[in-house]
Order: sequence, then C-alpha cells, then structure tokens
Amino acid sequence: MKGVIADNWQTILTDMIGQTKEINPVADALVSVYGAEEFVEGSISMAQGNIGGLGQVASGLVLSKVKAAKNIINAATDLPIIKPGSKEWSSAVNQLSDMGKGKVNIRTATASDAKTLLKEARGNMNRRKQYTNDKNKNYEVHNDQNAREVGAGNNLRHLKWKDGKAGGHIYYDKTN
Amino acid sequence: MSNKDMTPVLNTDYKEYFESAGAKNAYLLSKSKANDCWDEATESKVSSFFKLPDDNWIIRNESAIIGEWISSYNDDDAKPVSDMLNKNISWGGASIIKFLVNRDVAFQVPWENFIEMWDDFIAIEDDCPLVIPSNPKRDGLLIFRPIGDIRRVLAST
Repeated sequence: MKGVIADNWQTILTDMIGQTKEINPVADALVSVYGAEEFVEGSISMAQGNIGGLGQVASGLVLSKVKAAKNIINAATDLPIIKPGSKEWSSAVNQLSDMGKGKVNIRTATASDAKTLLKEARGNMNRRKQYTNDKNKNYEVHNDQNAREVGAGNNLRHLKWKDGKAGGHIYYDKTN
Repeated sequence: MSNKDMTPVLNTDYKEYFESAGAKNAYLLSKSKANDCWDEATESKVSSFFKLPDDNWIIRNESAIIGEWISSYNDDDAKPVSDMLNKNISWGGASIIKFLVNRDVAFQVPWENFIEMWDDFIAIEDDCPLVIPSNPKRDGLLIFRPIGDIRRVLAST
C-alpha cells in the first residue's frame, strides 16, 4: 500500500485537497496551516478506498495529530493533572514564571493547588469578579456550570489569570 | 462615529499591548458605543459571551473550527494564523471589524490590520472575544476560544 501511494502521491494530493476543500472547511484550513503532505499522509492512512467520507475522516485524523503535536486540547479534561511536589509541578511553575508573552492552560486536582501554583509562579494577584475583564494583573474564578464555558472547552472550574501579555487558565477538579 | 466615541489605542491604557505598526489604525470605542456594537451584533444585552442564552444566534448557528492560535501566540509568530485568516476569511482588507471583549469593551480596526496583529488583541482577551465583520448577518463572526482554536460561526441562512 505504501509503495503505491508513494508513486502516486501528487495525484492523490491534488484530488484529495480538491474534494475536501469543497466538503470540509476544516480540511482546507489544515492544509494551509500545516502543509499538504502531512494532510495527505494522515488522510491516506485512513482512506482504505472510502473516498466519499475521506474529507471528514482525514481532517479529523490530521486535526488530532496536529493537536497532539502542538499541545492543543479539545477541553480542559484532556489536560493531565499536575500535583504539588512533582517534577511536572516544578516545570509548570517555571513555565508560568518565565512567560513574558504566552497563554498556558494547566490542570490541578484542587482549587487550593490551583491558587498555590498561581502564587508560586506569578506572586500575589488580586481576585476580580468573574467576567470583569480587568486589564490589570488579576485573576477570576470561573465555574463549569455555565453552558458557554463548557462549550468553549472550559469544562472544569478554573482560575483565569492575566498579567500583561501573559495569561491562561488553571483548571481544577475539586473545590477542596 | 464621532471622535468622542473612539480613541486611538495608542492613547489609551491598552497601548502596552500593541506592538504592530497597524496599531495606529486601531481604536478603543467608548462604553456607550461598545454597548451599541455588542447589542447589534449579538442581538442581546447580556454583559459577556458567557452569559449568552442557548437560543442566541451565535450559540445556535452552525460553526466550524478553522484553525488554532495558541501555539503561534506562544511562539510570538503571528504569521501562521495571519496566513490562515487571509486564506479562509474574505471580509475585505479595508473593511472595519470590531473586537468585542464584552459588552463594555470593544475595539475597531481594519480587517487587514487585525489579520497582522491579531495577537495584540488576544493579549488583551483570549476568553471568547468576538471578532465581528462589518456585516455579521451576512458573514458571521469569529470566536477565539481559550483552549487555543478559532471558531467561525456562520450567518443565519
């Protein structure tokens, strides 16, 4: 199978991109952002002759590959839980501390852990009422009972913090 | 829109967020004008995206993820997202778009400038700000989601 594909990949690529662009704008975007060859590689491995459904299947596959490679998540519960004292905790503190410009999402087990992590990494911050969107250094507490939060991928309670061009979300599973 | 309704961002407290040359074309709207823009675009008077009801058109309409922004932001390389927006969204470079943080805070800038400096705006807000074209009823809108992707909400058919 692989040898056949290698011989014909340019033709397959052209046909595939033409089809998927028409039926799935996600595929088009993926091709433009991540390159046609990666798109085709993922697509061919799933095709198995099913050309009709290829666009959606392939774009889903490539999207998952890209997300894994770029540490992109579908929802907060996709993130690993970082525990105090662990190597991952130290890395998270360093990562958040060193951010000049960046947005990072992290998950802890409890609200206390989330607040401790934020304080270790960024120092004291004032808490603001949720959805205040104060432009100064601060954090807000958002919950997961809001349908819009869940729809945005924020399916765990979290601290939403910002400090200049740095910011992010520290999600937690339990309120304590 | 009168001058009292829009202030160059470089003359506001938000100037620290803006690095691009295009910032000279970006404006912060007055609170009353931001309210008007929000009410018209969302067809709602709630204060934030997170308070929109289920039957609001932005929630109800078909939507699709068109790309991701968070790795470009963290790499401080706006270009991949700029290229993706250029390729996928045809709102017209000179057309004026609104960047709605919430009902009270809104910016406006030509689309061609936003494409180049989207990360300056995302530095201000990444929790589902709404990017509204000049005609959202026809062209829909964009939502930058905090988990790192960009969702395009289609207009009602």
